[in-house]
Amino acid sequence: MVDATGGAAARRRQLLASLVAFRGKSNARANFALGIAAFALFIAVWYSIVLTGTVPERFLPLPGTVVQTMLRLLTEAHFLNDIWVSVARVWGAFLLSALFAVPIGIWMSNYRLVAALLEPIVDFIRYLPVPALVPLLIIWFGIGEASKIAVLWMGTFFQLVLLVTDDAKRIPREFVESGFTLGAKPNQITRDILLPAMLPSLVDNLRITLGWCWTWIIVAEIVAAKSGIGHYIWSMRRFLKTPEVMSGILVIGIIGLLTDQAIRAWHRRHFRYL
Amino acid sequence: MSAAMASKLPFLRVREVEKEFGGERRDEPPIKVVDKVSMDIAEGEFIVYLGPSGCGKTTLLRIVGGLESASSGEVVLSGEKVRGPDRRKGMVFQAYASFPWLSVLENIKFGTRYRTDIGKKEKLEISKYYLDLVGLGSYADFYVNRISGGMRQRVAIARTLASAPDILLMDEPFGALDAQTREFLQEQLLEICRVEKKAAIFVTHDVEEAVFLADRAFMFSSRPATIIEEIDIASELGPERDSRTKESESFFHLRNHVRDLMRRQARELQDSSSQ
Ligand SMILES: Nc1ncnc2c1ncn2[C@@H]1O[C@H](COP(=O)(O)OP(=O)(O)OP(=O)(O)O)[C@@H](O)[C@H]1O
Ligand SMILES: [Mg+2]
Repeated sequence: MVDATGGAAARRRQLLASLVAFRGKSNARANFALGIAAFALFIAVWYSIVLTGTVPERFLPLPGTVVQTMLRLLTEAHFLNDIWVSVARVWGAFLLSALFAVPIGIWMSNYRLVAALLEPIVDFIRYLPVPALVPLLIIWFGIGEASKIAVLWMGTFFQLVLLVTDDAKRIPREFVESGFTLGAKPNQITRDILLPAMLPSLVDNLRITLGWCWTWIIVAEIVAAKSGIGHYIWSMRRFLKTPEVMSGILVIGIIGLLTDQAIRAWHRRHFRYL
Repeated sequence: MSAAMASKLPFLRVREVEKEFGGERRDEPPIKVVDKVSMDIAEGEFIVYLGPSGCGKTTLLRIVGGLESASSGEVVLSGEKVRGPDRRKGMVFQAYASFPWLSVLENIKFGTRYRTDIGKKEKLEISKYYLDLVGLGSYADFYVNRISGGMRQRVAIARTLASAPDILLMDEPFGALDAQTREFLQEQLLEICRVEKKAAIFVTHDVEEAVFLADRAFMFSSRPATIIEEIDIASELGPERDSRTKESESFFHLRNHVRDLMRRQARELQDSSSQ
C-alpha cells in the first residue's frame, strides 16, 4: 500500500519534471488537462473583468450571455443561412484554389521551364495584400458571389502553389530515380511516386490554406455582401449588439476548430505509416 | 541482340568515361571526378568497385545507370548507347530508397509495376518469391519504416530484382548491415546472379566482401577516379563461392593484396591532403 502511493507520487513527480524539461516528452492526458485548465482560467478572468465592472457589459458581455445568444441564434433560420453561405463560399473557393494550385505546383517542381516562367509572377502577387485587392475585385466582379470567390482565390492560390512546389521538391531524389530505374515514365513517376510521397504534407498545407480562407471570407463579407457570417457580424455592430457580434466570431472559431480536427483525424488514420 | 553482335560487342562497355562537376559559375572551377575510365563487362559477370571515399565510384555507377551523363566518353549496354535510366539498369542506392507509404510486399511489387512481359498473377508470385528470398516473409505487411535499416535495404534489393533488370548496379547495399546478415545476403546475391546469369556492378568499402563477391574487381585512385588495378579474382578463386571460400588460401592472398592496395591509396590521399 505504502509502496503503491509512493510509486504514484514518484510518477507525479516524474510527470511534472518531464513537463518542464527542455523539449521533454509529451503526455496526451497531461496536455489535455493543461489545455482545459488554461481555458478555464481564461473564462474566469473574463468573468472577473465583467463582474468587477472593469469593462461595462455593453462592450464585454458575460461568457454565459455569449453562449446563450449563440445557442439561440443557431435555431434561427437567417443565421443558419448566413453560416451555410459562408461555408459554401469558403469551400467553393478553397476547392477551386486547390484544383489549380496542386497540378501547377507539381508542374513547377517537375519542369524548370514552368518554374522559371511562373515563379516571378506568383511571388509578386503573393506579396500583394488581399484587402487591397478587394476594391479592384469588386469593380471587376461586382458584389455577387464571383467577387467573394475571387478574393479567396487570390488570397490562397498563390501561397498554395508555392507550398505544393516545395512539398514536391522535398521528395528524396532516390524516390524519383528508383522510379526511373524500375521503368516508370515521367507521368507515371508523378502519379505513382511523387503524389503518394508528398500527400501527407500536401494535406497539411491544404488544411492550413482552408484556415486562410476563413480570414479572407470575413474581409470580403464585411466590405460588400448581403449575407454570410461576416455580413452578420458587421450589421450587428451597427446596433452595438455585442453578444451577437461575439457569437458570430465564436461560430467561425468553432467551425474552424472542428474542420481542422476532422482533417487531422483523417490524416492520422490515413497516413498510419508516418 | 543477334548472336553475331554478341560475339563482337561486350555486354557492357564503358569507354573513356570522364565526368566533371561544376564549372557553371566562374568563381568555381570544375571538379573532375572520373578520369578516362574504360572497361568491358561480360554477361553474367560480377564486378566490384573499390576505392577511397569520395573518389567517384558512385558517380561512375550512376553514369552506367544513366542517372548521370558523362562529360565525355560513353557507356554501351548490349550494343545500345546508354542515354538515360530505365528498367534494364536496376539500381540499389546507398541510402534507403524504399517507399514509406507502401508495405514491404507492396514495395517489392512496385518493382514489377511497369513490366509488360508478365501478367498480374505472375507479378504477385515473383514479388512473393523475392520477399522470401531476402528473408522478409514474415514482414510482408509491415510498413518499411517499422522495420530495421538492414531490412529496408533488403526490400530495396528485392524490389530491384523483381523488376528483372539486365544488370544490377549496387552502391554499398550492405553497408548498414550486421556481419551475419551481410554474409547471408552476399551468398544469396551470388546465388541469384548465378541462377539468373545476371551481371552486376557492386560498390563496397569492405575488402572481404569485394573478394568474396567479385569475378573481377577494379581498384580506383582517389579523385578523379582512374583504374589503378584490375584484379582478376575468378581465375584464382573460381566462379563458385560458398561459406568455406573465405577460409581458402587463395582468398587470403587476394584479400591481403587488395587490402594493401586500399591502404596505399588511403596513405596517398592523406599525404596529398596534408601538403
Ligand atoms: N552533383 C554533384 N555536384 C558536384 N560535385 C559532386 C556531385 N556529386 C558528387 N560530387 C563530388 O564528386 C566526388 C565523388 O563523389 P562520389 O559520390 O562519386 O564518391 P564515392 O567514391 O561514391 O564516395 P563514397 O565511397 O564516400 O560513397 C565527391 O568529391 C563529390 O563531392
Ligand atoms: Mg558513394
